[in-house]
Amino acid sequence: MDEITSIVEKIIRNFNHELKNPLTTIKGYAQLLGSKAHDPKFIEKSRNIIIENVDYIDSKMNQMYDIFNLPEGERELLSPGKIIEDYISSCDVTERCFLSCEDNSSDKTATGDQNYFTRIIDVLFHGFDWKNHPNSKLKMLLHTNDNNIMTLSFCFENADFSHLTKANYYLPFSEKRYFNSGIELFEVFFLSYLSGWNFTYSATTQFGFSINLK
Amino acid sequence: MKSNYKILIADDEKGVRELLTDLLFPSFDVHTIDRGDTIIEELRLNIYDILILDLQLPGMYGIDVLRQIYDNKINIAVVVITASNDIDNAITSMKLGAYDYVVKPFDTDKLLVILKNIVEKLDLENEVTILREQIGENFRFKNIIGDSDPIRKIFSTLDKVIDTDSTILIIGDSGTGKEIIAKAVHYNSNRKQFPFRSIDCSTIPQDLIGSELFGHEKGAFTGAISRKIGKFEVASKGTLFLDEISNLSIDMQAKLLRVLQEKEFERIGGNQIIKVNTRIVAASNKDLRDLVKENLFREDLYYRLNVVPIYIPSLKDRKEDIPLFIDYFLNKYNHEYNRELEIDLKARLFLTNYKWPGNVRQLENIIKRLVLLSTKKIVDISQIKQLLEFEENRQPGLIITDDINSDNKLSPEENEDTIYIKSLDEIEKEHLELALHHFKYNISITARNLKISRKTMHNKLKKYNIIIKKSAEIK
Repeated sequence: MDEITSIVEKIIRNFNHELKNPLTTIKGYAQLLGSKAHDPKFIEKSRNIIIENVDYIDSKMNQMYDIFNLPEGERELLSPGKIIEDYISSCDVTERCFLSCEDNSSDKTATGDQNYFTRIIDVLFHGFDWKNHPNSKLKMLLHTNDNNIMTLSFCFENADFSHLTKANYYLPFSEKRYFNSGIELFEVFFLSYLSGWNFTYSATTQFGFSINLK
Repeated sequence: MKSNYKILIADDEKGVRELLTDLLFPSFDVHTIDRGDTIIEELRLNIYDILILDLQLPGMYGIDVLRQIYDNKINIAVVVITASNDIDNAITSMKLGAYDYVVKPFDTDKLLVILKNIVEKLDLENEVTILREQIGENFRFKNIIGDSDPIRKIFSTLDKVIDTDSTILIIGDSGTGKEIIAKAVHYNSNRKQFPFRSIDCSTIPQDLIGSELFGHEKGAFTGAISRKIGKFEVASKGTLFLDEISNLSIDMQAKLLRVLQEKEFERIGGNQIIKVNTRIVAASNKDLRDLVKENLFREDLYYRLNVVPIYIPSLKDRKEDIPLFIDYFLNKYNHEYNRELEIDLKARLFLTNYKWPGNVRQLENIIKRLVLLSTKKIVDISQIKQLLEFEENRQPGLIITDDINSDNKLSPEENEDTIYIKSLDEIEKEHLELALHHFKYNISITARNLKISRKTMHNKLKKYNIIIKKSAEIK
């Protein structure tokens, strides 16, 4: 119960923090309107900004709601190595996205939802803030352990995630420095969960994020 | 609120940046930045007065930016704005020197009040800086009167030790300008932005001087109703001028020696050790070596003080400076009293050859009195003599002679303690009373003839407590 309470508290805290910026803008322009009521251009601008920020809050709510409402993933055989290679070539991201495979892992298969798997790769790649971190690269490593469990690990070069912890890494808006919306890691966590995989984070390894594929 | 201050808004949210720009422009020169890791470089490249800093910034957290500002001693008032209610962040921000802390979504009015307070603080700081510079300018070596060899030597010596922490001992007769030299030491040194304080050890009772120098705690002695910060503490990082140091009691000399040696002391009645870095400039009109021989002054303290000795000669021993002083004081008081008085050549020669027992202070008083009281446009020797005779009458044994080359005129410093020289205030009061009597106590006519406004006249009547009753008599 304590663990659940703690997670709920963290989610509320993150949300509270996330929503306060648009609320500040809305409140600020509402107050400024009082002193600049004679300026039609300013009224128009304020109106647009207020609507824009209300829409932003609404979109964040919807995104979260949609993630919570995702259906259980299919349990089908899939070839992670091939899916990733196809993704890299189809999106033409070969300069920024690499896959390495150990022990012939590229030929091996796992069970889960293929669409969700592709979506995980897409969310991590396109959700990353490349604009402000142009020197970064996404390195992926596919490897299989002695118990025949396949693991896909992710490393964003030149990105420091040391502020994340085991308890908060997947929570919405815990990580906003390197991702565009802040809910990417939460989405990956949820998609993995719905496919029966484990999405984990470790601060001590080069490949901080990894998914154990069954 | 209208100001010329430059403000940097650091927030990753475009909406907040835009809001603050609309709120603060054109009252401020507003600039924005959306990342934490570029703020310090921006502050190095451009001078800003105020930073509005969001704590949750990409690239570098606001707290780390604040820490770098603190560590690098960047002079900027920081207002932290954050979406977090975390009290620890607030405490850390304030410890790192933030001026204030505002939680989003904030009231724009509240932010404006904070900025108004910052503007007032910055205005005051600027005013203090300007005033300090103005005061300092008066005491630049180049602006201190004197072109004689002894004065040049003094400046040359001071130049070598000005930025060191060396104690300086100034020896010179009364009125030679010891305090001006002390101020010159302070305002030309790298301590000039810190306080200069002076204390005249001859005018403060011995039982109070300890409290003046070191301060006291509440209840330290009868009458100590609150804590008092002593001059040593106030002038820390600055300069403390101890005038007439020979008047310090032996007990106080021992305490002073300890501060000079240890750079620490305790307030009277307190047990907290206070560390100070105060430069000491001491002055005396007596030769401290003689007092050491007579066991009236501690030898160890004498050597502590006498690191850089400065001897200011009497005015009579640097006659070439007297014309410079005459011109300086004449300009000063002509300007102050809106007069255009001149002194003719013969009178100037007379003044130059006078022995000036009261040194520069006496010369200044004479010139001020001439500017105040002279009814002619050009002062001649007779007026000078008349004024000096006025002083002579109160100085038995002094002689006035017409022979301007004589060395005997208005002779020396003997019986200095018994000399009575009226203050300028006393003379002004007498003159006012005389003028009022002459003009039958009509304030308007008297003021007009004294070439002062009615308001000034009333102020002076109030100052000298002169009450004119309806029956036109002075009380």
